Amino acid sequence: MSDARTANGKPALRLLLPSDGDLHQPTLDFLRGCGLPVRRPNARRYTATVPAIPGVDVLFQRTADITAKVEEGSAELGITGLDRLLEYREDDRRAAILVESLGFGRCDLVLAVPDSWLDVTSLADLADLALEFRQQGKQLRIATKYPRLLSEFLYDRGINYFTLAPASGTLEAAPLAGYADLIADLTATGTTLKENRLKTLEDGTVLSSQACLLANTERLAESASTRELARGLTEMMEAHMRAEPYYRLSANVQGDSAEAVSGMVLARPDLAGLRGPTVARVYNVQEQDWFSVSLLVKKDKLLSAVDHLRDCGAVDVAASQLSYLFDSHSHAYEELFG
Amino acid sequence: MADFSGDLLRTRDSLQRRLTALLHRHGYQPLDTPLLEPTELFLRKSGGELASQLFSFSDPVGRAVSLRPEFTAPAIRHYLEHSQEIELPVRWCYGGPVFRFDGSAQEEDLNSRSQFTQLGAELLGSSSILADVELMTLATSALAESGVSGWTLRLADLDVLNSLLEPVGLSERARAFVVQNVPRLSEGESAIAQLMEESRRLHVAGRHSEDDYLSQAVQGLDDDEARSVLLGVLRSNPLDQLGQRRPEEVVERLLRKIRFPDAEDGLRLALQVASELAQVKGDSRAAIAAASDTLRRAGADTSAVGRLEQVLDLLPEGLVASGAIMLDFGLVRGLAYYNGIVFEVSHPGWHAPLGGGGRYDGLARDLGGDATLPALGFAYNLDALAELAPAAASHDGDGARSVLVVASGDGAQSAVLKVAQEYRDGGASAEIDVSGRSFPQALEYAARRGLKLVALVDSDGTVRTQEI
Repeated sequence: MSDARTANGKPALRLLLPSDGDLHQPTLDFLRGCGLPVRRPNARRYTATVPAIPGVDVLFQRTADITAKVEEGSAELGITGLDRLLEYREDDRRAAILVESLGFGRCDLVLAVPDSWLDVTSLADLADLALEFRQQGKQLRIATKYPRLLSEFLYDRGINYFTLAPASGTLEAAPLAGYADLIADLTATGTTLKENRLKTLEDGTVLSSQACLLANTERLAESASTRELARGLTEMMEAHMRAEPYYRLSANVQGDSAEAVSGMVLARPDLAGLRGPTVARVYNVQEQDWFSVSLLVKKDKLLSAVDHLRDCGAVDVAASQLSYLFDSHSHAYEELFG
Repeated sequence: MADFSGDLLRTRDSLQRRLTALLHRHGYQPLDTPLLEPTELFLRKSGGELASQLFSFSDPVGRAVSLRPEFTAPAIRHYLEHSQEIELPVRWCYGGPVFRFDGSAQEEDLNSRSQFTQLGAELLGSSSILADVELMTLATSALAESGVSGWTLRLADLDVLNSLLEPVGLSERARAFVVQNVPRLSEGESAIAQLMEESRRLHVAGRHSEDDYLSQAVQGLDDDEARSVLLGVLRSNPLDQLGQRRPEEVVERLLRKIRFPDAEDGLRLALQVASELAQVKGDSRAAIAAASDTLRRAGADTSAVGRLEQVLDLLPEGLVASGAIMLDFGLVRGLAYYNGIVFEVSHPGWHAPLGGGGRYDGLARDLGGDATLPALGFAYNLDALAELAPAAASHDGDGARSVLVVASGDGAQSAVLKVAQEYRDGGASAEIDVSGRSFPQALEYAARRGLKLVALVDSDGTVRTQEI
């Protein structure tokens, strides 16, 4: 396959995004949140760009195909569901997980049995029933689109006697249609299962999935400039996600010295920022001893932190949302490329 | 399987002929089955236990197929498909390659360790103790015939374990869990705490607090009343989704669950008694007595021990006394479908068991038969036997003379072909020189190859010979 090139002749980085289904719009929203809006000149076109990082070519693909496309090297990066990745992946170097949880597209792969199976509420019951079926010369038939994940899950829990029914169309109808006894399917809320008179099992969650970023590390290893583009994208995503739980707080506090002010704030280490407050002198015409205090605080601690600063005598308390929080390096990227 | 050639291959071929002949003399008829079978056949036999070892793939029309990992399931399938024509009991013997992925092997050994040649026998349709004795005797005769010495045969009887667990009253699943873990229990009671922990993870002995509202609904009712209440609850739901289950089955299982929660105490007790039995091993008479004792103390039926003792009594004299056969109640052979006797043969010169076997009366039903079918069998890893067999035993039929036939010139080509054929007709092995060697070169070559005679043929058909 020939490499895509940017206008200046350097190899482009190809990023695959879901063109359909539940992940399509959330992926675009996520990238916009990361400061990486995708520009698609025309909704019918399957290519787009990320103006914030020139050299990134976006290709839209069916969610189910993205793992295979990255694995075969049609693109260096892709965003898809962890469920699809783990089900379809054959080679974990050619489809490595760069960021496992992008924080959206959450759904669970769950086992669900008919409501009318009053006696079956847990995985233990299902295991017992599988043996009971076996003794009667029957097979427990499970309909799923995730044969690999499901088999591993059940084998790992000592449930060996079942057969997978070929899955097509709406799985929820399989028990009613009579070709399966139970199903393993994705659910975000459980509503569809309930409407089809199915119930989930205790401990019957095969996988808690969300969107993830995958990379073909072999292809990335071939080109330093492509790798640099991948690092840029990954850093923006990571920094955005790392920033998401925090607010930046700043306030003015009167005090004798910077040490005295920081001492007051540090009396509550849990509310004093990631690594303690920044305290700086404020110069004003009255020549009073004012200091500016600024610190990062988790969203759920915002009000407590504001109260704490007030207790220290703070005025003008400002809070703003963080856009990015960069660490000293990209953890995801270093893990793969050192 | 590693590559086989030369003496090793001759040894294996010879072993296969002699062992097959031994089985024929005992009335076993040859059976061969396809290398590829539906994956389902092997999964139904042993579930996930074997799944990770199967070489499975999709055939061009998308059916899941696997390379056979053994012959027993195919043999039972063959019987089930032809049960109308087959008169029981039936005896079959077989030999050929089997495939089991060995993940513990080094990468470069993966393929060589994952294929081996199996040779074995199955006896279907008899629950007689004579059948057990015949199989055990044959398994040891095969070792004698192969010339391998220094082996040990460990023998157990799973009915003894089952009798022991009977009074504890476990669910089928909890019982299977205990049986599978017997090898670990044989290491002592320290394994029990670990296994209890695992049983929680595997949901073997679950608690059922979630059934409380149903438990309360039937509290104080006798079973019949409870049944009708629960059926009423069930019928208030639409019944179109029960799948392969009948309402009565759901209610019976629910009732059992409410009345006899599979308490952890029961499982712990079962693990304790099983551990005690699993540690019984060694000299057969003493082990028989110890096993009886364990069963009696647990209030279990001891008739299975009696049957095992009878099998031992009927085995050829000397086998048991020599110590080559020893009892080991910690043996279950990993495969969940065995019942009755089970045995395994090991040798210090081989990293895995040489072979083994046992009774598996429930297998036919697991594979879709209407009822259980008394059956038992054994199989050996023929490649392992060939490695361990003395090389001297391998040259039967090879004692025939080996001749190198050389033409004295281009004109002698047709004479060479004729003379070589005459040697072969006379029972010798004749190799024609196709390299245009001179007589002295031919003598050197023949000496290197270990051939016995060189024959130089002239165009008129005269032959000069020289012994090496």
